[in-house]
Amino acid sequence: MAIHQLIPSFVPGDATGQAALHLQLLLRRMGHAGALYADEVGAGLEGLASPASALRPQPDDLVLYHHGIASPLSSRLMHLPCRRGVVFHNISPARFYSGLPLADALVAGRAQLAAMAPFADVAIGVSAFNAAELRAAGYRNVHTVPLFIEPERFSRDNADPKMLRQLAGPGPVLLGVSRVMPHKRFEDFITLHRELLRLRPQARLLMVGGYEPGSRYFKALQREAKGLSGVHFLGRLSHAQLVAAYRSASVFVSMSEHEGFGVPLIEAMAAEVPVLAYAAAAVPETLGGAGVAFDQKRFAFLAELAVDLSEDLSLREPVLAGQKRRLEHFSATSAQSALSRALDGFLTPHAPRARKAPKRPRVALVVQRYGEVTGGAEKLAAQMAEHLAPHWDLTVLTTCAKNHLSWENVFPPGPDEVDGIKVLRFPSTRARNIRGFNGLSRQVFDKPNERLREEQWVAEQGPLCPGLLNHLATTRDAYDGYLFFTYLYAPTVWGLPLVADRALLVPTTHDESPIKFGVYRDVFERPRALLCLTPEELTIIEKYFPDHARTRVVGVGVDRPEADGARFREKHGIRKHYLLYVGRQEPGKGVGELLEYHRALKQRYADAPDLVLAGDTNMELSGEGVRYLGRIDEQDKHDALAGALAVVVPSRYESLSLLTLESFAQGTPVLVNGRSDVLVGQVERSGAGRTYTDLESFIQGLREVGEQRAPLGKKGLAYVKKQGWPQVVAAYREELERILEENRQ
Amino acid sequence: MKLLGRDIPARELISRIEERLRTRGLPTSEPLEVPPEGVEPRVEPLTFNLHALEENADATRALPLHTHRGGAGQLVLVAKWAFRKSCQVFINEALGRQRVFNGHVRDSYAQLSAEVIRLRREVEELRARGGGGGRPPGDERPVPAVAPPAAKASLEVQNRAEREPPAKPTAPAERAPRTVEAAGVKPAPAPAVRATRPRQDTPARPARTEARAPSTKASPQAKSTPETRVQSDSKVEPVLPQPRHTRTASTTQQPRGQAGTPKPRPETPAASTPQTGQRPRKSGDKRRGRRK
Repeated sequence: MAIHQLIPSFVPGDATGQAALHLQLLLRRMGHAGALYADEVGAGLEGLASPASALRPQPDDLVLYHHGIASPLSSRLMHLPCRRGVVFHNISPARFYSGLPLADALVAGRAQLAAMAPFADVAIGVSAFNAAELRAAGYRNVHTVPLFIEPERFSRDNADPKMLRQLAGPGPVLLGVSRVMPHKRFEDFITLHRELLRLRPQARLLMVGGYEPGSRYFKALQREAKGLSGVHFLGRLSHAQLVAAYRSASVFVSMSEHEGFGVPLIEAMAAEVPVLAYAAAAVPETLGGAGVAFDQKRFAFLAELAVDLSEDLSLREPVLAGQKRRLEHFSATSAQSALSRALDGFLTPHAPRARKAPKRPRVALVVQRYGEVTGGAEKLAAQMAEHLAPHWDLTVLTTCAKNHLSWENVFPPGPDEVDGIKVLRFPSTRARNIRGFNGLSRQVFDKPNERLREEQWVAEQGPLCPGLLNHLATTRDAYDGYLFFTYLYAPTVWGLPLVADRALLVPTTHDESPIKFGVYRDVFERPRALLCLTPEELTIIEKYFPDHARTRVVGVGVDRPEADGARFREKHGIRKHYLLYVGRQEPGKGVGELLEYHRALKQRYADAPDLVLAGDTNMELSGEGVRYLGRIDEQDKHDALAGALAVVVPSRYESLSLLTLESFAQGTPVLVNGRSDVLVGQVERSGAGRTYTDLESFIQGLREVGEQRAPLGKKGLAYVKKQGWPQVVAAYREELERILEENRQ
Repeated sequence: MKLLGRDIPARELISRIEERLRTRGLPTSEPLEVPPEGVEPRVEPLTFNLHALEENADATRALPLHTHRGGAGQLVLVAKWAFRKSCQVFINEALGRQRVFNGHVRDSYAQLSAEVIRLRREVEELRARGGGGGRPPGDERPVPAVAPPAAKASLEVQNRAEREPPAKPTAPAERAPRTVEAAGVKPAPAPAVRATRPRQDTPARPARTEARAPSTKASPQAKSTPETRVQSDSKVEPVLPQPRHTRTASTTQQPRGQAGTPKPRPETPAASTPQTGQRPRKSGDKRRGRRK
């Protein structure tokens, strides 16, 4: 059974869309897969939400429709052949817009609300106030599931520094955040500010929220603010700018005459700003005794109160402490409890699991690609599958994709078998537009983002494979454990939370930009254990996810097949000494820099070694003495490793370099990118190579490796002899046994 | 003035601020509006939708001229007004069939909603007879809080029609006006608008007590004129928006073409299509033959 969500509009900055995204997060944590469908999907968000017309639920599915202003989706909901639920976000009363076209849509929204009542199996209000309106509209089985925010996204670190500098200045600074709509009463902000200026002439008023510059209401506000100092209409802001606005404010003020919940109230609490709010509709409930609510708009009085709240620490500090306490009520954990209660008895409970220990545990190995594919993590997954298959009843759950740049379906969907391992493939539903993806990456990397943007990035990263997620959610009892590979891709980010209580993750963590995304928190915090490849990887995890799950460094085993360097030279007609890199030939792997250094090397030294490259490529590989061999088979690879002067590992982002270990196994030293802590650690521990960070250190390292090839190679061989497959396999089996034992208990 | 907050000394704070206001010579106890309390009332969907269909069925009628923009927005309004004035005849021509179609949609909806209300009532009666008025266990689906007046009116007419002996068969064109009335469009009163919010202690009333659908015993009200039905039906207080154009009963029935605006030439209906919602043809109007 899947739980889908239907939303009128899924665009950035829309509170309903954010609520749907949050609800999806909670549902995944509860083990339910499901997709978002919207009438209007914002540009670039097609990976996260599908058009409403594409919704085809199964009879036992549940569709939750987010209702606000009138939408044709309400009629659609009533006719869906499945179970139905309504999430009510409230509707502004039409009295604020009488005589305007909007009034009709508002009343129509209320009529639709009542019309859906007999057809809804469950109704959810995001506040008790909304739940009361649902009951009044005729709903039964009504529950309150509050919205939540992620407070860490409102920390000072998440504020845009430029905006912070821009807004720095004397106070007190009043802040209002909402769309510029008549019932939000922006004119009251201006009146309050006018009063405040009498007390504090340097006072400022920041008004944040989308507005239409030509609108009559906004023009009236501008006229009213004319002649007043310190009034700033900031418009719609990015998340980082919004946090900067909160963090620059002395007091957050709400003058709204109607709020079904009031998300900015709790955002202000998270940003440690005292809240001063008009006690309209659900506002007192959201505040829950925190902040300060008032029942009359006496502006002279409120101006005095705002001064006290911003300057009198004996008043401000307890208010902030109370708000911090209140914020716990709007945590994801709290919302999930409420959602569980709402859906309790409504959804089929999972059958109790057998308490007997299975002789051969059934394990699903989840990885983004499997089979004839190039990629370190994918290769590791294949090696682990091969070594664990004798001990576990293993099924590989993967996509039909071969190319990780496009995720184009190449392998046929359904059951498959690769080297005796059972494989179940699911089609990828969306091809990746790599140019658009790179553009998005530039926008979101190394910046604070809201969840929507990060989820968008994960969706664009892909592979989007709803069949795989659905399989995970619906066949929980078919597997005793799950082994996920690689933290980065969508099947892990969205699939792991579905089965987190039985999941092990081999994260292959790299110290790269996406790991800073909060969206990966569940990936590192919710599995039963993280199986790391190196101690350096553990350090990276601890740096970004202090509350991570239990970790264990398991390493990898290394095969040492017989190899002959001369055979490789003979086969490919290579006469000179050569440097070797085998792997994905991509700029992201540092191949561009390697080519540049090799070109410089050739220009300086006549006897410089050639550069041999092997593996799939997505870039132009050319230059003097550069040989690109394409994809080579395993024996050819080991022959190449054995015959190389040195193996170069140019990638900056590595969780463990299998190539390095394979090179050591053939007695060949390595020259690695010194900006990767993992590679530096591998070289330092083995003593079998050199590192480089620029051209000079590259040349120097190459000289040393060339001069001491034999002794360095011996050290490498000794290092890998200590790491064997039996120890690695034993570690994996122990971790799964622990899960089975704990779950039995 | 009340201050709510667990973490503030509310009384002390109020008195401290009041004192400061007094010192500044400002009034400290202005009578100000206290926000209304309670949730928004239910809007009966069947009534609302029928009313909205009635209001908007005539596609040739302009929406009220409105803009949320100042400045240039006013110029746009003038341009729209001028367009309407000068091109109404073409608008009528272009949207004639849409108007007929909308009329059918409205009439169909009126009939279907009346059927829904009748069926709900019958289900309630059957339940009341069979199980002492209780619902079967697990059936928690609500019935509408109030019956839509328009639908009730149509149902009254429909029941009356059922009681009456069948009329002589007539041509579809002759039956059309009766169909309109039977569907409850013409007699439908403009639903009452609740001017103020309801008290918190008066929740929406259940249908069982309020839905006074016509019974076999015809009450005097059931045979009353549309005007008297308006009065009786307004007691159910459905919450609805103000109609865009307040019209009297006569103007509601009067086609827009008779109100001074150019009258469009109606489409020739198919033989099987009743002329629902079409204007009466002029007595001297000649049908134009198809050009060859």
